[in-house]
Amino acid sequence: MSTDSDIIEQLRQEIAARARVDAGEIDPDAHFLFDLGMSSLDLLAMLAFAERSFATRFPDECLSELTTLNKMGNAIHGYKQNQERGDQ
Amino acid sequence: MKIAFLSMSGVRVRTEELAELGVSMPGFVERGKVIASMPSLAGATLAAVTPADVQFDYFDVPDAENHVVMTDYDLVAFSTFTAMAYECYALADRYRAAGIPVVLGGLHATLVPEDAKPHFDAVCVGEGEDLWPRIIHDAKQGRLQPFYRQLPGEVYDIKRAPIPKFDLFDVGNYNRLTVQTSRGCPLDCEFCAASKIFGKYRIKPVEQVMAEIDEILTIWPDPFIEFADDNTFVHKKWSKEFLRELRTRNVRWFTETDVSAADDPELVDLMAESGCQQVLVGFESPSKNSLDGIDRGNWKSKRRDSYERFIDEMQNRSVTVNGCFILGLDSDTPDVFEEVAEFVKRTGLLESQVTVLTPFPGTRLYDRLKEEGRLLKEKYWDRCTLFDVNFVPKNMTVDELEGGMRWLFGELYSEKEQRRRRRHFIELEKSRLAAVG
Repeated sequence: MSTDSDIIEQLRQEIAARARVDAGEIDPDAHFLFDLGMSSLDLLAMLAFAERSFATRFPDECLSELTTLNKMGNAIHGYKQNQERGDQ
Repeated sequence: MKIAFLSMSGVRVRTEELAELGVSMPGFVERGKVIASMPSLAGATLAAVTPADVQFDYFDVPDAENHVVMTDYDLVAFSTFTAMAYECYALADRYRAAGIPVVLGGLHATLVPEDAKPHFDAVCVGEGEDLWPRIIHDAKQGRLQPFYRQLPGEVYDIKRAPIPKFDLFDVGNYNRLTVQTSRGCPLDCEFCAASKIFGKYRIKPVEQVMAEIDEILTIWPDPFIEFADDNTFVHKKWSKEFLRELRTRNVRWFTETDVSAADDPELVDLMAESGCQQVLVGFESPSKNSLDGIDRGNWKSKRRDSYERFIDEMQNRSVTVNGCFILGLDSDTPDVFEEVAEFVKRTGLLESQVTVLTPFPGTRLYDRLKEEGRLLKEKYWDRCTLFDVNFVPKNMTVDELEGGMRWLFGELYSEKEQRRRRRHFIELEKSRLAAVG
């Protein structure tokens, strides 16, 4: 299972590839669209990448809010915590 | 000599209820914002054919009313859409009152030059590359002619088109730059001004387009390019050659196409591989009956059955489709609104744009509706927004058309519906990721 830091690192690499920026320079609170210059299609592709890579499903009403590395990482973390609680 | 080029673009809805509704409708507002936030390709093109001893400054005019007349220019050139014509005329009047000569070119000027003339010292009719140097020459002599026209039947050889001066723009102010690969469209739809303005369909050689893109890359290393074409992938051999070159550059792009682009899977693959983010396609109507007769060859009606396949072929490769629908076509009845809503929801179109049939001056549609006595007003340019009704529909009332459009806006652009479309696309993307491992 991925640790939180693994998740953040994988997301960071994917963001860097999509935004065409250096992964090390990504501010975790930088907005995908307004700060990193990603397109709305990139944003949807990021959500698909995250859901598939971390076996997650974000609630549909949150999709438009997951617009930074931190927000996406936190959402995945929260989803996994809920899953673990459900497993116990 | 100092010349100011004023670009007036953007979309402003006149129908009050629709304008209020539009404020919260991303399908309309976001596309409107995109259009308004692109610099004028005409400005960059004219700058490229302006003699070196002339200073050429470019300005976007988002708010004509509050624009302060710049008195230190020797000539002011305007470019605008029909919907903004009256605001453009009023601003030109203010410049003339300040003693500065003004000239108008572009789509509206070409469609109705006589209408514009009272407000301008000169009107440029047709493609500007060869006419603009003549205008400058005459302006320097203080002898502007009332009209500058291409010869009857003359078509500009776009192989001679200069590389636009993209460095005129501060790219930080825009979210896209435009490149033109072709002019005109062979389909010749009744409502479209492109065929009328541009005449014969022409394509630039691939190396010429790539030279323009490479020029953009010098000022914007990872640009978003909008191909300012009416129909980009008409010639499939050229299209593949172009996209093979394009995929070697670091660009994301958007364009307009017809549904034949999806006939060849290799072409769609190349589109995806070369950075295509979205294609805008004029479906016009989900009803074969409504499509009947809108273009001379009845091509769109014959291709209706390939609409769903087009959407799947594109979106399965991460190329989103913005499907455009025209409401108020002659065969449309009040059922059309539900038909469009059903089509958009069923097919999983990520984006859709619904507009009302608009009789732009100079089009075959305008002439026909005028002859049939169906124009609400003959000169009502500020309603040429694509969202304001200015004609009597054949099989419904004006109120039904306006009301149906408002209902459809609500259906397609509600938060719930947008979430549903986003989810659909995410699931498609996940399937694609799974397939490629």
